[in-house]
Amino acid sequence: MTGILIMVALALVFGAALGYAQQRLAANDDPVVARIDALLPQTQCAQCGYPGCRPYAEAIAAGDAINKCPPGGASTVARLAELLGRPAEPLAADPGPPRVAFIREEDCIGCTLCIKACPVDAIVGAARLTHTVIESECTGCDLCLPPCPVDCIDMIPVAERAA
Amino acid sequence: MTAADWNSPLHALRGHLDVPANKARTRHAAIEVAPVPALLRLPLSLYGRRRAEPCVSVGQHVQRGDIVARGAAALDAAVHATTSGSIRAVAEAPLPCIELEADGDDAAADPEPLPDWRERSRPELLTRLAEAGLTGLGGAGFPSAAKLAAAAGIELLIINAAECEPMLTADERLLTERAGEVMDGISILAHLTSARQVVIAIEDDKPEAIAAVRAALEDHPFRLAVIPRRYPSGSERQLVQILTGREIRSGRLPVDLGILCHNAASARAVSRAVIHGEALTERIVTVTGAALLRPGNLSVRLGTPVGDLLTARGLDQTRLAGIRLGGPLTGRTVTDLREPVGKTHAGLLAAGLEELAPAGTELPCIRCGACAEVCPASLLPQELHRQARAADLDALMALNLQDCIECGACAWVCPSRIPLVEDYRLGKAALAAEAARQAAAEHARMRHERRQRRLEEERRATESAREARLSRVDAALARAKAARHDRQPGS
Repeated sequence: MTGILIMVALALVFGAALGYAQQRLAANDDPVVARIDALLPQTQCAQCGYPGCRPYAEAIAAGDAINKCPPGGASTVARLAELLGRPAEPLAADPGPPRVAFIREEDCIGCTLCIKACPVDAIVGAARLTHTVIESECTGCDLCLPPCPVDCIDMIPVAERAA
Repeated sequence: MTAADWNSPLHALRGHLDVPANKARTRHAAIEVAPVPALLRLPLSLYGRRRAEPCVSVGQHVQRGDIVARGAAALDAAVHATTSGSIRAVAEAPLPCIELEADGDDAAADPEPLPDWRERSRPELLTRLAEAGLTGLGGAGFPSAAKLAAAAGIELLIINAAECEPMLTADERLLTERAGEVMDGISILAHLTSARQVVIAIEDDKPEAIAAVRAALEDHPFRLAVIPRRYPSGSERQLVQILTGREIRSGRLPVDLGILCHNAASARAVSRAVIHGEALTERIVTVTGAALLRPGNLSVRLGTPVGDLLTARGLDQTRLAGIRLGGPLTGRTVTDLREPVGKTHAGLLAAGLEELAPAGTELPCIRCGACAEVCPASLLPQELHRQARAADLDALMALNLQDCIECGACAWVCPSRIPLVEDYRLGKAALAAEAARQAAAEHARMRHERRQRRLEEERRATESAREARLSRVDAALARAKAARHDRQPGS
């Protein structure tokens, strides 16, 4: 009789502790998503079809393909494959050389549309003043190209710019 | 043993390479002055793949000791004109450099000596060292001022005069002939680091240099450690281990143990820069090799093309197996004779076949383990080789590739003639590129997250403003309704 009572008491105590722990220490962040996100190149370029790296990380965690990130290249696919235990597939699209955006200032009308589009705040400027790209912050995502009404933004290979 | 000798027991290296010293050819050759060439190439590369920005224009006339390029960081070593002449071009080949056409006058800029350096402040002296273009003259070429800035109040200052690399005798001759200048430099270094103890380490096969140092030590409180000849005892981490028995952990520096290592030639350059106010425009280079007719120890202007120097000493093409800048083990093969002598080059070899690492067609690794036995850093060279060829960066990290000191002992003993050090250099470059990529991604993620947060805050602010406006409207309507209600009592 005593034995049963002890076991019941223990079960209640541990049950309560576990329930409390689940309430208080709940993982507010899905660790798999965070680890996938850490492997993505953070260009926020949306070439994967999702509006940024983290949404794509969530999609991968939910089962989407791991080969949709051209800026990450084959090495990112390989790392994702290893993390998730899935076969490494070839990239869905060719990444090309790394590039940065460059605004031809004489053509810029200062509409601020590219500033709003830039996912990493790499463009400075104000309404009706010329804008310019902070080269060191630009991830080469191309997202500023479509909104520009006068097509004054070029994508320049990084190597060419340095030379 | 005298009072000036190092008083704690020496420790043995885990692995080392038995290789003939091969120094007889230049060991007793007094330092000579090499002729100033007609065209000098002043390299723009700084420590850690960075690059100095030229601060002169093409055609400008400069004097010996004028600064021609600077790095971005405050304590980066400046690049100087090493003779007087006019700037011909900023060139990219054979390496990024400024081409200086000598005018033959060799006029020097006015020196600014600081004989009263003991009264000068630490920042002032450090700035002087950076402005004089001082880097370590031993191997890696780290800017001296930056190294010293991180080392105040240390336990032990080690002056590295081991010169363990075969064939090189530049430091040995320097100590034999100019021990006094080296001691002055060491005094300045000891002052800058407030070192509690100073030791000068020399390998035991250099009796003349040891005698000269011992004589010079009479007026100084420094100690002398005569260490057994063992390649690579002159490597920083290994020298610390030999003298103190302490091992520097992976990713740490000697300064984390309160120890600073400085090369003897660098110490002399410090004394020239501070006491005489001269910029670093020349260094002592052992020019030697079986294919050289007149080997010797030369005081060479930095930027002197390798070809000029070899021609001046008579090159025997029939015996030439390879030209190397640096030593036979740690040096780099030169393919373009226009390449200049730089700050870190203690040797220039026109080597015969027997003086270089055994050459031949590369064969597959037979896993004999000879490389692991000689590795002084206790690494696994054959595993590193396999993973470097496979470009497996995670495995290279796990095998501590970063701790490889590129001493070349493994490649020297490899029976399959595998150029192991080349693999490791490529592997290190790949690791560095990957780290840079990850840092860039992390930076972009942070900026993106901040932007998302800012946009969210802006949205919330507009929303709450709208709600406040609406609630004001509601309140006004309610008041109006109430007023109407008051005017029409009983309705």
